[in-house]
Amino acid sequence: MNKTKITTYQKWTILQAIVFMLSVFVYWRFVASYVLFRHEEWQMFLFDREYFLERLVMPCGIARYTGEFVSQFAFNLTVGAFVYTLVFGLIQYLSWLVMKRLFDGRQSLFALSMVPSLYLMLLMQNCEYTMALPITFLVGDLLLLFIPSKRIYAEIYLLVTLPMMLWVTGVVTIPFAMIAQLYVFRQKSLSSRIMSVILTLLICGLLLTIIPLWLDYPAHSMSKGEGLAYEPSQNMISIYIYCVVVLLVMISPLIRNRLFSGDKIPSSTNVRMFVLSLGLLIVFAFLVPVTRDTEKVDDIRYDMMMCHHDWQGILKQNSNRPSQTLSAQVVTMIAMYHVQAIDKEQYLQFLVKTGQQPQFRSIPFVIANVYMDAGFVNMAQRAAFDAMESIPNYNKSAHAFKWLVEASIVTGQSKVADKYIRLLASTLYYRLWAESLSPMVANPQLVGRHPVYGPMQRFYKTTPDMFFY
Amino acid sequence: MMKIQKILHIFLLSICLGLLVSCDTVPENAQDVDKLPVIYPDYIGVTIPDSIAPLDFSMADDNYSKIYVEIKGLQGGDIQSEGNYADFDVDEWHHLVSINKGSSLRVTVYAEREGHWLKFREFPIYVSRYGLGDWGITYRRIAPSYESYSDMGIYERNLSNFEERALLVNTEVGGMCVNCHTPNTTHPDQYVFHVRGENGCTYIHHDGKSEVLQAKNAELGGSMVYPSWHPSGRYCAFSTNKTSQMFHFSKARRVEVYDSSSDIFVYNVATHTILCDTTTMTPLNAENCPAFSGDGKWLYFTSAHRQTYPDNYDKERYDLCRIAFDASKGRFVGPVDTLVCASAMGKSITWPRPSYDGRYVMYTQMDYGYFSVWHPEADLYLLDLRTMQSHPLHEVNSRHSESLHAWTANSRWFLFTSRRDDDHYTRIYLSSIDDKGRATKPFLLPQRDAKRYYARSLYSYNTPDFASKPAKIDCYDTGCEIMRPERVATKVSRK
Repeated sequence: MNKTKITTYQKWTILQAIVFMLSVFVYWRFVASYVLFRHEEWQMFLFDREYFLERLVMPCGIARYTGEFVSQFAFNLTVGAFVYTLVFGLIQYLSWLVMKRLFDGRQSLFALSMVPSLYLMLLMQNCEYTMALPITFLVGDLLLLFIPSKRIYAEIYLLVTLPMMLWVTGVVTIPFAMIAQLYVFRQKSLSSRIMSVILTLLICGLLLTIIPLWLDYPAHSMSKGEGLAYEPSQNMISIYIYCVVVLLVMISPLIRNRLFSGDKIPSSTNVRMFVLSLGLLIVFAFLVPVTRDTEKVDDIRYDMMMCHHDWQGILKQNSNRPSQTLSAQVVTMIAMYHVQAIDKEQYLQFLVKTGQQPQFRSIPFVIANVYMDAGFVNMAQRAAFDAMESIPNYNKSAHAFKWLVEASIVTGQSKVADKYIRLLASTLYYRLWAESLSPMVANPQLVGRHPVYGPMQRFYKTTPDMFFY
Repeated sequence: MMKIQKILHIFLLSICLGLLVSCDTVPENAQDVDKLPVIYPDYIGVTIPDSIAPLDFSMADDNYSKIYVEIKGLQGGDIQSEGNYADFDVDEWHHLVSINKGSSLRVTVYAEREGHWLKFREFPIYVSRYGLGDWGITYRRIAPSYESYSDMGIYERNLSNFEERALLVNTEVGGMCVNCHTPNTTHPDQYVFHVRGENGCTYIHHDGKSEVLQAKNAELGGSMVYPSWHPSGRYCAFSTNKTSQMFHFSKARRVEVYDSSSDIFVYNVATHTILCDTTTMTPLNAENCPAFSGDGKWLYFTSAHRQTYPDNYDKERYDLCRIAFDASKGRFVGPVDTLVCASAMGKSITWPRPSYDGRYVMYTQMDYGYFSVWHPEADLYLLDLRTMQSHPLHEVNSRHSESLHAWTANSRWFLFTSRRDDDHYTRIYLSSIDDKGRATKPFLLPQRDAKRYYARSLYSYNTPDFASKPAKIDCYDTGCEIMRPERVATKVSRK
């Protein structure tokens, strides 16, 4: 009898997992692919020692390094969506394992274990957070999964890992530390449990002060979630709220076990859980457009379509839902030029007129792309540099470096081009492209014979100089 | 962050030491190549002070996989290094260099390529009999961008080893721009720097206390910009500039920085008074780049007839001038004296830097304008104040921009920034001046694994200066002071 129930339960669980993973993949690939694009555009993951050390010496650096490693796969949106699905699927799976292991959640709510992943996906849809944030939760889950069951060993384990965790994952460690303490004191009274949690909070606060002092690093940067968000000071409240949500979700089996004692599972529970899972996914789907910053997302979408030369997609997007953002206007005009809906004269006039608007410089990635496309090399070079310097978390951008390589080759600045090529050669996806340009650095005459850079260089050399602002 | 890096380096070094299985030995059967090795940085024939950090270098060609270097002192001692690059132990290096002070070192390089060792012709490194006299340098590190900027900071670097420390990074001041860090005659007990942005200021540290001055003075009509301390510490000369940029559409030069107006004044540190004098604040001329002489009796500066922009951008040419300064009264005395009329030669002068011993004025000369960093033709010149003759420093100039120079307190050494490496990222070079005003071949600021470091670095070095000792600045505390809204008001006094 029991064997049949476990098998049925497992079947329902697997079904929920499949539905969940498919939904996550569809979300990342088709609904929020712009997030993948933005993550990849605003970073340059390098496979070298310096890059690793630069990350290691910062709080949440390991999480940021791992997150950026993951985000580099978004160069290809399908591969990126698949990798992101694995990460969020792993968060869900580990959360469920933690709930089962720590709080005897054999009859736990599988559906609830999806909440941390879904909430994270909602948080990330406005491109305010990097992949470092999901990684911190993965690490937190792993911390809990390996906690020894014997109290004394568990306390030693926490004493050793907590300071390291605070450096690796920052303030996100705190809810996991609290959950760990609840587990360690599971056989004690409720008041003891509460006291242990409060003590944990105090110790975490103390460590957050001592660790930076010892390492000569500003304490406030750690508590601001440096490395997790592009602009930490503006987005910490959401992270703190998320920490509370995760805490409540993880300890929900404690509450559930009070309601349903023993092994008895009502026969309709599996169906109810599946319906609950579906319901959560529907709520998530409903919340996606409600919490989205449409204007910002539109800008990123247009930027993405421009990078992929999806001219028809741009025109379709503009006709279905016209956008008044500057990115949309500029990119739409370029698309119209490329499908020959307007001629070059109109296109260049529009560029010159728009280029004089001060707010044009607020969309540097788009305008770098635009100017490079139009062959205005010096203007593209400036925009690409400014684009990179405008990334809020001070990341460098492989996209921008690509433009800088091209601009340097065309303008004859071979040594700078070589410097940037060597950097791109340390990336996964830009290496081959960068290495293909190396002959032009060693032999600048080859530039004139290139089908794209040759005409650009001739235009650059023959156009009279003037100033732009 | 330095502490974490130290721990990491010790850890990595321990692993490396543990993996070492043999001592350095001269490669056998090396083929003699009768030419000098092409190394990076180019330290062949340079003159160094005895206290400088090891001159680690690599073969410039990446096809060489290994290098073995032997350095022998003419007056004794020797050290070796073997590996991917010449990596000398700091203490061994200092010992060797100190016993060869006033003499030279002979460097023999062996390099391995495709399994074969080549032995190159020996080259010298000269050890000056004059010491640096200063402990280290300070500089700003910033990406060579156009208008936007990301992370930047003011750093100090110990010149006898590779240690660098952040004095102030802009992440501590809400991402604002920090610039123009200037000590008084290389003494870091007195310094000034600016912070530009919403909560901007001029930060002055003197007599053991710090003051955060308001960024702009309404009566002055602008901010304090390029500073120069009077040696007494009682005054600091500033320029006030209305600076703009414009960008070339189709020229190898990227940026043209110009001032629609600029003037010079002297600031009284104790009374917070801006002393305006019509002699250095003329309506038809742009006065810029003030620099007090080592004895405080003269203020050197540049002056140009103001032009209209953008049409006449290449016609603004600055001359080198000076005016006497009476420190007891805090005012200029006498007329302005033009020392070098560069405009008459179709040239422009910028960044005059008198040596502290009063013998020379080093300046940058270019075709027009004053913001030399973006002018590849900008070169260093030396004016001998005894003979009033100027000459270019051919030994240190290149086809690329050289500028932003500074002297050591003993006036024997100087540093400057140059774009010669790749025509874009400025690097710091050091050189010395002999009694005849000739400079020695400059050498690049040493780094551990310099080739990799500079190839990887995406920052330029800006406004460097020497420092006689480490600065007592705490990055976090200074940032907090700046982020508070309180500012010390300045007042204007006109003559």
